[in-house]
Amino acid sequence: MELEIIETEAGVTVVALVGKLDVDGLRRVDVKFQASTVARSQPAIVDISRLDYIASLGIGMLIQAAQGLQRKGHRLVLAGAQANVDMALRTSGIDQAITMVADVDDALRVLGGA
Amino acid sequence: MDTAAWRIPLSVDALASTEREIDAFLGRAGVTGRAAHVSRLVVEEVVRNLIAHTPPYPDGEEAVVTLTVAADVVTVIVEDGRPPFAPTDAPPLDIEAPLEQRRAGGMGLHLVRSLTDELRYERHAARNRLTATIRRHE
Repeated sequence: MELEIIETEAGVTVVALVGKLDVDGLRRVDVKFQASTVARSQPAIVDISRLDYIASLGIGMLIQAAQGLQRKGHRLVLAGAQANVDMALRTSGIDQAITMVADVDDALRVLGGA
Repeated sequence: MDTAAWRIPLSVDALASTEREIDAFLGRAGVTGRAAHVSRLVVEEVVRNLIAHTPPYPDGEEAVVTLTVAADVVTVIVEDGRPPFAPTDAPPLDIEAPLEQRRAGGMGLHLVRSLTDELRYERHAARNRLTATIRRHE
């Protein structure tokens, strides 16, 4: 499990979650993920197009980051979920709480950065 | 039919290493896509729930996980010696709650109930036994 950090010029943080966000994967990226999103205090896009697996622990990590940004007046957008990850996210109702879009370009448009 | 079983000590480290072995087993058995994702998710959520919500544990306590892959279905059985607990009766999750009302936890058993095709809880000989059935082909 890896976390890639990509900073855009539009004042939007873009990070990519790559691999399996299971028990072990969460331990590897959780602290870095929160630091890369919430601590930057600006809108964030999480590219999950290369995320192969997620369960409730990983979904909780996304909720914590989105709530942290919301308290600072910013949004977190999820981009590019694969079918099985999309299934897990929608089954837990995350699409009702966090905007989910097809790709990073769409996410930039949602955040007004493109 | 392929079958494998694991005795998992109730610790996060043990669960993490077992997940990798389960992944490898499912791959060797040709289970991919939704069925692989849900099978693994069932093990993670049920065993992690045991680790997180019913301490303290006597030394050496463990869960026994058995996966059976047949032509049409994957069957996941999780057995443990903890006090009676039926995951099938866990309270429902409000999936329409707004972001500020969401909790980072409490979603696992909802996912298990929602994504499996059949879920059966039994209490027998002072042990909990949860059987989940996941269809391999949608």
